[in-house]
Amino acid sequence: MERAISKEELLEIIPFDYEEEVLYFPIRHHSPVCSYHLQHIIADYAPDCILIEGPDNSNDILPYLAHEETTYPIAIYYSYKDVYGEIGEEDETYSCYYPILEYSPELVAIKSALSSEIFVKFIDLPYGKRLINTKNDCGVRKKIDKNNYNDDYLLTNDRFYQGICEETNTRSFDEFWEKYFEINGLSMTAKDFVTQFNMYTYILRANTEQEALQNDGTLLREQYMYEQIEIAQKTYKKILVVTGGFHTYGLISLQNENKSTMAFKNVAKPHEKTYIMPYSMEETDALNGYASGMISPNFYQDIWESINDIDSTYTDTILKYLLAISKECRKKKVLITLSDQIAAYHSANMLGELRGKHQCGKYELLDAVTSCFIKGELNLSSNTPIEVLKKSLTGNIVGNICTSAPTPPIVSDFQDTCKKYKLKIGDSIQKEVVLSIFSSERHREISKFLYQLQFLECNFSNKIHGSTIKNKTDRNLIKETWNYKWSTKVMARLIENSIYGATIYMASYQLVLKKMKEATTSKDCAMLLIDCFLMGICDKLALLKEKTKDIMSNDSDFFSCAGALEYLVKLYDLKELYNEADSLDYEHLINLCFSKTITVLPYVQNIGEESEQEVIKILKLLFDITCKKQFEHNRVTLVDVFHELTQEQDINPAVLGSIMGILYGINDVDSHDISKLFHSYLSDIENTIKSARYLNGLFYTARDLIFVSDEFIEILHQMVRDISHSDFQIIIPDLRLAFSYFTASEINKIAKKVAHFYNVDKCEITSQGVPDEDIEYGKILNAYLLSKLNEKEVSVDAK
Amino acid sequence: MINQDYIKPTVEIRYKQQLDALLSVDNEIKPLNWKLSPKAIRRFILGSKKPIHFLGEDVYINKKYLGNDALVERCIVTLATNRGLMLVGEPGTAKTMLSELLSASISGTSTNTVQGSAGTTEDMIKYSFNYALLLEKGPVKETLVPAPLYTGMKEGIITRFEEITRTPPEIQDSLISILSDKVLNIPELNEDNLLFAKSGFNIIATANTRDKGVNEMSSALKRRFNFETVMPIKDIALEKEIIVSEVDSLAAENKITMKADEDVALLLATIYHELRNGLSVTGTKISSPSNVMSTAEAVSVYYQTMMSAYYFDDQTLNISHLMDNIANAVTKEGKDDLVVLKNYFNTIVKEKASQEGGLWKELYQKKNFLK
Repeated sequence: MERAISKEELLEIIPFDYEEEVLYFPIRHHSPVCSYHLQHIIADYAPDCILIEGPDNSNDILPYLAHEETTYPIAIYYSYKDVYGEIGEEDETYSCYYPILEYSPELVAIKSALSSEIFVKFIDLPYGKRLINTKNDCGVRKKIDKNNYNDDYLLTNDRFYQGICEETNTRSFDEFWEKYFEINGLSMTAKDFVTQFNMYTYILRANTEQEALQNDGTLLREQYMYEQIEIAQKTYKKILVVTGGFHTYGLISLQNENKSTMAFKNVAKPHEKTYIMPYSMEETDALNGYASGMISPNFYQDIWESINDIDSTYTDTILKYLLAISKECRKKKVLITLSDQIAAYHSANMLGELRGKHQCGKYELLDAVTSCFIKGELNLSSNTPIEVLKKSLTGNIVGNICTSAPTPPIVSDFQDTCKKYKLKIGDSIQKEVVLSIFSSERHREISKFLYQLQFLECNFSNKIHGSTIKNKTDRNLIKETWNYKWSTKVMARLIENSIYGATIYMASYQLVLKKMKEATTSKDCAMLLIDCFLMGICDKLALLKEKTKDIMSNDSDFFSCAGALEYLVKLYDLKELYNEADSLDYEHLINLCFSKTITVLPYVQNIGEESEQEVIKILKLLFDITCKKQFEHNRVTLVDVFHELTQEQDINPAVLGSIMGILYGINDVDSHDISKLFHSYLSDIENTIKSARYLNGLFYTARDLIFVSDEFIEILHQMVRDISHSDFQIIIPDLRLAFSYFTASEINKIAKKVAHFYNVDKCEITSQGVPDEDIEYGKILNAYLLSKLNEKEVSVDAK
Repeated sequence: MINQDYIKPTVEIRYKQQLDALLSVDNEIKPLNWKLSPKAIRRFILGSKKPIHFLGEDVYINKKYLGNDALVERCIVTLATNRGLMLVGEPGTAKTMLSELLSASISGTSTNTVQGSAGTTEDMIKYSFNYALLLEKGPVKETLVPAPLYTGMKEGIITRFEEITRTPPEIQDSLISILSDKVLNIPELNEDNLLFAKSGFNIIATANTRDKGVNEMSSALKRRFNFETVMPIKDIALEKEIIVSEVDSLAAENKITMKADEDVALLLATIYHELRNGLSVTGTKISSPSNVMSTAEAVSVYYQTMMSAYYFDDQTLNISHLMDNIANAVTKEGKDDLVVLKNYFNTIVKEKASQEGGLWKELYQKKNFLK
C-alpha cells in the first residue's frame, strides 16, 4: 500500500491521543480485531460516555442487546412506512437490518459501557430521516432484497480497492482486510492499529467523490452525528466515539473546520418501528456478502473465542477447521487421510508465510483444502470438501432474544392465536395436527391460520397431506394434515413480516396486495385468489377484484387466461364446501375470463404438437363450463368460434378433432362430417400421421362416437389395413394415446367389433404380450440350437 | 541471452536475466536445494512492477502466468512439501508453461522431462542400461543410463511428467513408492542399488481432462499428489491480453516484424469465450462445439492469420484468412462443429454486426467461408 502521507502527518490530521476530550475509534462492523482493540481502549481511556453509530431513536433497545439472556447473532430490524409518499410512492414500506454478532465492536462497546455504568447511546439519524435524506437507489435505499444498516460498502470503493488488491497481491478486499487488519493488526498496539486504519480510510476518503457521499446521505449523517457529539460534550468530559472507519475523518473535519450548513429533510409523521429479532449466521453471511460486510461469521466467531492467544489465534482455528472438515467429509464418504490433514495444515502455514501474513488465515485454509483434500479434477462431483468448508465458515447458529425484550404486535398475535387453537409453541419439536376442515368450523379456522403462516413464509407450518387446489391433486381427501414447529427463526420471519401488518391476517392481506401489484398474468392473479380463499381472506377484496380484472383485460396469453379460468371455476365450485362467502363475485370474473379466453382462442389453432394435449383439455373445459346453468349463455359464442376454427386450413389436427367431437356432442355436426375430415387426412403419409392426432383430439371429447355406428370402426380398419408397416410404426404412439381414453369395457366392445371383421374371437384381438407356449417353444428351440452348435465345437455365448 | 537459432528456447534460457537478477537479491529462506526462495519464484511467475537493479541495468520481472495467482502460490507451496504436484485441466490452459516456469525457477532447469504416451515404459522414466557396457563390466552403476526420474532424484531437481494419464496405469503406479519413500530401488545392480532422493526433488505432472485419465488413476497415486485444476480464462479482456502477448512473442522469436492488433485479438477472444461457455456476453444461450476452445488455440489462429498477412498480404490482416483459420480450428473434431459455428454466426455475430459494426460486420460478411 503506497502511503500518501507519513504516520506523523496523519496523526496531525486524525489524532489518537488518550488526552483528547473526544476520542474517535474507527471500526469495521463485525470485525473481531476492532473489538479486541476497542476493549483495551475502553479500559485505557476510561471514557465517561460512549457514542455509537446507530439510529438515535432506538436507544431504548440497548439493554436488551446486551442482556445476559440474549444470544447472538441477532439483528435490529428497522421498518418504515411512507404513508404520505414523502420518500417514494405512497404506502411504500422500507426495511433494513442491523445484524449484531457476539464480536461486533458496537456490542462490545455497549456491553462494556453498561457493565461499567458509562453513558452510552446511538447517535446516527433515525431510519426514516436517513431514508428521506438518501437519494433513490443509493445507500439504504438500494433496490435489493434486504438492506443492511451497516455502511461497510464505504470501505470498499470499487476503483480504489481493486488497485489495492493488485498492489498487495490479494484477490479481494476481504482478503486484503484479513491480511493487514484482522491478522497482522492483531499483533499491533491499539494505537498503531487505529493509525493504520485511519491511514486507509483517509486515503480512501480522498479517492471518494463528494457527490457519492452526498447521494447516499453520508455527509448529512456525519453532520447529525457531530451535533450529537457536541451535545454530549456539554455533559461529559471523556467521550469515546465508535463509528465506521470511513466516518472518522468526516467527523474530525467537522470538528476542525466550519460546520456544514446542509439542511436535513424531515419526515412529517414518522411511521417507524424498531425491533430486535433473532438472526442466523447464514443470514448474516448473505447480508454481508451483499453489502460488502465481513463474510464467514462462524469463522470469526471462533477467532473471537480464542482472540486473547494472539500468537496462535488463527493457526489454532485453522487446525480446528481442518479437523472438523475432514470429519464431515468422511461422513459424506470422502476419504481425508491423516496425511492429507498434515499436508493441508503445513500448506496453510507456508502459504501464510509466502503471502506475508503473520499467521495463516481464512484464504490459506481455503487454498489448503483445495490443494490437499480434492483428489482429481475440481468439479461439481469432487468439490465436497470446499462445500463443507464454506458451510462451516458460515455456521448455522441462530440467536435468541431475552424474554424481557418488548414483543412486536405480530408476534403477540401469533402467540395468542396459537394459544387459542392449542398449537404448542413451548418447544422446538415438530408436531402434527390433523384437521377435518369440512366438518369442523374450528379446524377450518386453524387451517386458514396455518395457510397464512405458510404464505408469509414463516417456516412454521407445512401441509403434508390434503387436497391441493393449485396442483389439482388429492381432491378426494377430506382432511388436512399439517406439521408445525416453533423456532427462533419463525420469530425472525414474523418480525420481518411486521412491515405488512400488526396481525398475521393483516400481514397476509397486505402481502397479497403487494404480490398482486407485481402480478403480470391472469394465472398469477388466480393463484393469489386461491391463496386468499385458503387463508380465508374474504373482506376488503374490491382492490383485488379490480386488479384481477385489469390484468385479465390486458392478458393475451391463451394458456394464462385458460389457467386462470380453470382456477376460478374451481373456487366457484368449492366455495360452499369450504364455507367461504363469494366476496369476489366469482361468476363475474369467470364470465370475464371466459370471454377473454375465447377471444384469444384463434391464436392457438395451429399450435405445435407439444402443446396440443394441453389445448384440447382447455377446449373441453370451456365446453364443460357452458354446461353449467350460470354460464350457459356463453355457449353460443363458443360454438361460433369453434365453427370458425373448423374452416381454417392449417388447424392443428388434434385441436380440430376435439372441436369436432364437441360439436358432434351438441349435434352441430354429424358423424359423416367427422369421417369426411378423417378421410381427408388419409390422402398421403404426411397427413396420415395427422389422422392419428385427429383421432386423439376426437376421442378426448367424443369417444362415444365409435359406438354409435360401425362406420367409424370400418374407416379405422381400412386405414390400419392399407397403411404400410413403416408408416404404421410412425403413427402407433398417437393411435395408442387416442385409444387410451376408452375404458376397459369400451375396449372390449371395440375388440368385439374388430374381431367380427376377421371372424375370430375378441380375446385373440385383445390379448397382449407373448403367449406362454411361444416362450416355451423358444426355450426348446434355443436349447436345440446350442446342442447342435456344441456338437460342431462352435463356441457360443448361451445368452 | 536468447540463442536465436532455437525455435523455442527453454524457460531458463529465455528468462535467464530475470532469474539471475532475482537470485542476486533473494535473501529469503529457501527450501533445501532450491535455486530461488518461494517468494522469489512467486515474483518470477507473477511479476512485479518494481525493477531489480542488476549488472548496471533495471531488470523488470514481467507477469508470465496470467490467470489465477492463488493457484501459482499453491503450486509453489506444494512443491516445497513432500507431495507431487498434478496440474489438470483442458488442453491449452497453460499447464505445461506453468510447470516449465516452476521447474526452471526451482531447479534451474525445465528440461528434465518425461513425455507420457501410451508407449511410455518404466525404462523411459527411471533408468535403462548401456548393454554393451553391461556385457563388458557386469551390473555396475557405470552401465546405468539415467532417465528423468533418476536424474531428478540424484540431483535434487524437479522431474516434469507431461500427460501422465496417457501412460499405462502400471507405469503410473511405479511412482507411488518413489513419492512416498523418496527412494528408487535398482535391483539389477549388485551393490549400491538404492538411490535416495536428494532434497529438492519433486514431480510436476500434467494431465488433460479431455483424456478422462485422471479418473482411472489409482487412488494410491492420487493420494501422493496435490491436484490443481487449471481453468480456462474467464475474463475476455485477460484472454485478449494473453493473445496479444503470446502472438507478439511468437512473432519476435520468428523475426516477424508485425504486432498483434488489439481489436482483432479482442474479437477472437470474444468468439472463443462465447463458444467455450455456450453463452454470449449478452446472455443468449448458444451451442458449444465439441472441440476444445482454448486460449492456446486462439493464439494459434491469430498467429496463422498473421503469418498469412506477413508473407502474402503486405502485412495487412485479412479477415477472410482469420475466418478460414477459425473454421479450421473449430471443426477439428468433426463437421458437426461447423453447424455450431454457422449457428453462432447467424445469431450472435449477425447481431453484433448490426449493432457494433466494425470488425464484427467485416467478419459477418465473410460467413460464406463457413463451408
